[in-house]
Amino acid sequence: MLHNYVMIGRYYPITSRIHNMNPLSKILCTIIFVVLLFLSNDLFFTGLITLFVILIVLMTKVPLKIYWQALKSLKILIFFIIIINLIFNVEYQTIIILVMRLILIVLYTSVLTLTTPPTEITYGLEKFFTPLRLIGIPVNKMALSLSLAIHFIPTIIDQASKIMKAQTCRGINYTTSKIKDKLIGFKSLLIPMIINSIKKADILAMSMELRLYNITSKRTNFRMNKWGFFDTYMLLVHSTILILLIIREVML
Amino acid sequence: MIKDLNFKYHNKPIFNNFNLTIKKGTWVTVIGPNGGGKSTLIKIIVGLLPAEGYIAVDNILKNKDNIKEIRKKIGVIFENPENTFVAETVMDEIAFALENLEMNKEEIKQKIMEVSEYLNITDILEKNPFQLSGGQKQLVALASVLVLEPKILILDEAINRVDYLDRENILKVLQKLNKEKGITIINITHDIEEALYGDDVILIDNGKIILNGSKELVFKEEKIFNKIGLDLPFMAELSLNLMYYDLVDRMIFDMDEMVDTLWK
Amino acid sequence: MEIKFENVGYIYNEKTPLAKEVLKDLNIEIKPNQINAIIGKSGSGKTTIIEMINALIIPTTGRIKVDNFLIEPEKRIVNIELLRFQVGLIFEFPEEQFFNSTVEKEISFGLKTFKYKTDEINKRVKNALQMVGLDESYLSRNPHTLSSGEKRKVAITSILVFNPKVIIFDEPTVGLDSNSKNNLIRLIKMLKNKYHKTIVIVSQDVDFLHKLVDYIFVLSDKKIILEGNKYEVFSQVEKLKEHGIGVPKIIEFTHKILVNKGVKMGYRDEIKDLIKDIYRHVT
Repeated sequence: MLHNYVMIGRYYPITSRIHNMNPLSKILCTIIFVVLLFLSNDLFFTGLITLFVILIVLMTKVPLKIYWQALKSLKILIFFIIIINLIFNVEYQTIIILVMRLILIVLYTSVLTLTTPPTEITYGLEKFFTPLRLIGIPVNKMALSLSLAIHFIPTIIDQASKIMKAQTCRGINYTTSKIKDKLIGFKSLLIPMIINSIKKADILAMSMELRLYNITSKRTNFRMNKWGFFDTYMLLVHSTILILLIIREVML
Repeated sequence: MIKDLNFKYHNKPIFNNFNLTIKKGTWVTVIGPNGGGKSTLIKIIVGLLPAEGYIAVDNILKNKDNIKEIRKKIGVIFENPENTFVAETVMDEIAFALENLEMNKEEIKQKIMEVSEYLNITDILEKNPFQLSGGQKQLVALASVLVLEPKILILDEAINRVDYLDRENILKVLQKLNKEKGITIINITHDIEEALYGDDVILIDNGKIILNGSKELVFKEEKIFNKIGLDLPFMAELSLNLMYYDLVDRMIFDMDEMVDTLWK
Repeated sequence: MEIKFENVGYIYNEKTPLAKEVLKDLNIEIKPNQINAIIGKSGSGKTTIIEMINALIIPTTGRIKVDNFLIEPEKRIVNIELLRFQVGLIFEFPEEQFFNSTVEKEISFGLKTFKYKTDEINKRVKNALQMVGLDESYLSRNPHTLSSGEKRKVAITSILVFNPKVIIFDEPTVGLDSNSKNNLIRLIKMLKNKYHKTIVIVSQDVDFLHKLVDYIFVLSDKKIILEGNKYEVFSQVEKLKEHGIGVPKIIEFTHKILVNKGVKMGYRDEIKDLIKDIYRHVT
């Protein structure tokens, strides 16, 4: 029943070069990518970047069906973009670039979410925002809270589903259109969920405390600190492309 | 060894002048009706609830400053292990406790391998703990506390929801830990049959110890069990009945032994 | 009241990369006015089966007949509430569904939603409380302040007020102490004998089941591998063990006598009868 976990975080649990990358490098690469994408204003470079992204997508070894599903939801948006731009007589070249940018961003961020479990993304963000600690923002604590919250999303969804089924058996109608009944339905789901979540949180906190977790102390972070050659490599590749594009822009 | 004296809890005195000693290395099964105070007792021992009185764990008297030391000595497994998972993989889950000790990564890895080999779970180290079977989940929870090398293991209704085969497996693992490593086991349960795996039985009701002794002695107290409404383990009830008819002369808990004794 | 599964199959998360087949070609005929049990390892699909009986989920293949209702893939069921009135389903840890401030509200909200008149509601609530053995003083209490046995009774009552013909219990004994379990046994027996309900219990607690069940279905590997009355099923000790299912201790012992000493004794329900048999054989 917790296969939903994969659907929610969109993490696809296989191994690949990209999966094994340090989440911080993936986040940095994503940011660099978004910037360089907006710097490529002609068809040729957009085409090259498309090839680049396709290469990365293939490296993730995630079935292309999944990427396709992500793109399918863009159909309507793409349609509107094309229509509106045609109405305003925008050059077809620009339209193609606009549409490609959208597709590439979705693909690239899909690479990020498909190859990085939510908690690792949180870890990457934590590392990324570390400088903020200097101005007093408790980055680590926030990251842990966020990480645990994400971690429990599938459990909570499961719980909601069970409660809804049970309440349906006791006479609640979740598909009713009457406002009064809708409120009762809402209440019948919300209250048990809150109570249940608090109980779970309590047990979790107990278990963490008993395993010597202390929010103020330092702790080692077992898996996470691996920064490999591939991470540096990808970061360099992205930065190089970015720099080349910047130079090109400046020279034109 | 745990020595408890004088507990009170909140305004409702749940424990009043409560005394209990559990000898090192024994396997004690704690039984009793719901609401009788069993879980509360655990929380008090590990310092999650405050109480007046003295508690000594492994000859160290518990006070405000040594909670960490005490907790290192006691591992607690709860009823639903899903509620205690913090990590995405079994390996990280087991590492959690050691991370909190600021142990370095090499040592952590080594300890994880030691524990997983001992519990035979090396094949699931890379899996997501939420996607394991009930029995495997409990083994992971067990591993995640065993890394701290506790002297005492407390199970709070932990074997409740586990399948038949998995349950036998866990109980055998606990036996191994008890006999080979001398770990004291305190098993709180509703399933009276689990008591047969242990040595002693403690019956708690309304914050009081009603019975405390070896299983051979405790299960003879049929009247008390009936009065509180608790069942006896099958073999205990069988033995008592057979003793009444002079077909056996003592409590026999093992089925094969019983059959041999009856049909000599 | 007929409940029949015909070649039922169910695939979880169908048409996604995480699809998993849970049931295949399942055929079950629930015995009316009897206490039926479905046993099997966790994850074997027991909960899926009972959720299909009142159409919380629909089979992916095959069909289920419940009284006049036909539950088939991709077909909408008209008057589904009527089905849910006829088939009461009580989930594991039902007390976790509470959301009202009094027991009275908790039990009666379902009836109110379906616009039953107040007199009728009060009558039903009174009757249902009587059935489970709680007196009317409980009506004004906050359900969260009750003991776990009492909470469980309140949850069961909230299904009984619909006066269902079939009552399904999913793991009803989890977390209960002996007293509450014995109360539950009495309640279920009464529901069968006095109120002529059809009962279906999903449980792993075979010693509990042995005290009340009439007919057992054993679920393993997506299908029913064994069915029959409790003696027929539980006597297959080795086969059940292979599939990860235990048997009641009394049966296990009687079986051991057969295996170790070749002495065949009848399978009993209670120890006192077993003792008499042993006495006769040994002396």
